[in-house]
Amino acid sequence: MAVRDRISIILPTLLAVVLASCGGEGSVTEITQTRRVDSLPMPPRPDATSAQRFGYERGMNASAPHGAAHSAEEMELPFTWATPEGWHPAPDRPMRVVTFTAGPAQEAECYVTILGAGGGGTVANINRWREQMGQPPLEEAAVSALPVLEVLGKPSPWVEVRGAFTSASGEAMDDALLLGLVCPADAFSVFVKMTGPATVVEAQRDAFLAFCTSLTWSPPADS
Amino acid sequence: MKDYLRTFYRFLSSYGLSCILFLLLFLLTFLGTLEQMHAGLFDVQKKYFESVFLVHELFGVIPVPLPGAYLVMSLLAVNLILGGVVRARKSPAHWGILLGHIGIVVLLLGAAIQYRYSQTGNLTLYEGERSNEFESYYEWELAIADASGNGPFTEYIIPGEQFMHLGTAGTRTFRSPALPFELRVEGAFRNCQPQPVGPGDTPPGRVVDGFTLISLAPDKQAERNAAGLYATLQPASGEAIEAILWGLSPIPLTVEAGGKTWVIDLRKQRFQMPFAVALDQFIHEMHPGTQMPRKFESHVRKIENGVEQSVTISMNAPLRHRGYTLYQASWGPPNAQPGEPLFSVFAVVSNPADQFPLYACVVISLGLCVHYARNLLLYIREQSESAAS
Repeated sequence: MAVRDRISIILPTLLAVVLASCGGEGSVTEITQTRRVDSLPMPPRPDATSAQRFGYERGMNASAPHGAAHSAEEMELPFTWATPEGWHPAPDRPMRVVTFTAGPAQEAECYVTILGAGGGGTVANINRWREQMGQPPLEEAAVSALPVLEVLGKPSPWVEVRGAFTSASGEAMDDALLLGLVCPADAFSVFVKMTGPATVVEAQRDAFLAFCTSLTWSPPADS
Repeated sequence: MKDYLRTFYRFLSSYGLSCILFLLLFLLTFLGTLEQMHAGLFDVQKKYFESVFLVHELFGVIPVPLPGAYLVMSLLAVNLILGGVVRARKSPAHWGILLGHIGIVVLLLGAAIQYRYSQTGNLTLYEGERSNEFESYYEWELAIADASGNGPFTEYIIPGEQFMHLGTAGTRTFRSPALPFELRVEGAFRNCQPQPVGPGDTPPGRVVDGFTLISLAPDKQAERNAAGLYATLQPASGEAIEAILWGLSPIPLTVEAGGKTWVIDLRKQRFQMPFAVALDQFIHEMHPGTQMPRKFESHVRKIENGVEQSVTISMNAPLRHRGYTLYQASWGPPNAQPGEPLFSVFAVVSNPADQFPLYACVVISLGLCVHYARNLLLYIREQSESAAS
């Protein structure tokens, strides 16, 4: 095929592609699509603040469907905590008392959960965390030998697991680090867990331990 | 000019072009599959299979420009129609091959219709709830509704494709004669989180009402991304209202304008079905002593024009009606206590071309039968003639 013939093929093709890729995007666009609905998915809340709209302030989250997990405020937590510097609160998540993000790009996540009574047991929960990191389970003796922190007046074992993190939803992260603490309080167990890229979580280890030890029983209401 | 057109026509209908296009499809499939080690299925599909052009990074460093599968398959369809149907010989000896080519064209046509017109998403219902809408897994939309009355309501929809591509710096203004304000989108994030800004903080972006949007890396599972954007509502008279809209907000933005209350919500794109589905009961049973589901099924009512019909949707028995298929996909909450209300999740698919692969297979099979039957008959005849002679 002659060069001229090839140009006759390539040029119109390129021109067509260039023209096709031009969006013709104007600065103002008319809204043309409408939809009729019997009810709005979420009712108006003229008095809602941004904090409430983004789930940072609790108590107004009434649009949560029936049976959804109760927010921490509704649970009337009997303890408080001190938020380490550089940690940012994240919006409410089901089953969690509080969630924070930490690290230069907020890559690490730390959250607190409460489960009734033993919450399945210390050994089972620590081994569940190890499984999420792709690590084999520990024997009961090995769990008993884990370092212990005094949290809410109870000796609470904490664990550090490195590996490929797979969350409960199946999300995977290579070279991750998990820090977890189990506090077996009397009526329930408190779990504090931090996950994220290993380098980021390592840098947050002291902050994590400080956060755990900052958990303090709230004074009685009549005091 | 005529020569140029003829050369162009010959090139488009050439066998050589077919070979190149098939090799490119093979290459794109191979690279797209490898890419899924690092990226999610949705992103890979967009980059390799729904694009006109793309840049593949060989060994993660060397940029290699490639045509996308969208362009390759479009060219393949043209090539097949011109070379395999228009230019192909039409004698009885070639009827089988002709039919085979037509079948492949039908297959490509079905793919094009599915790409352009299909809708996929999910519908979540608690027991006792009903709905005629399902929402997309990945796509977003901005919905603006006058919430002053008691309904029905008119929602003004801005599809995500009109603003999600803007990135963090782009702006675009939307208006409608029915709205008392213009809505200007000033930066859109594919995955982000609103974060409060404290007195000593130095946020990377704009701050609105004490919050800023923190951009997050797109999730590998694209349906988990939470879109967000900065918006400014400019009424015809009066002060502009600045706001952050976030896809996971439990409460929508509500503003007063033109003497009415307006709700503005960034949410997953919604599709309406011509019928409603009401969930009466969800049943799930586990194998004794395990967390392995033995059975889960939804007893629903299909409601259309006031007529109700009871249907059971289970794992391998979807509800098919009016071009929509509802599959039993999931249920929750996973930690539900006995007696706690359950919800059922249906995967909903509407694909006008869902039968095209079947039609294509029938046509291609017919073509192959015609072709090979003719060759067999010719062979038998030749054998009989040679035996006779």
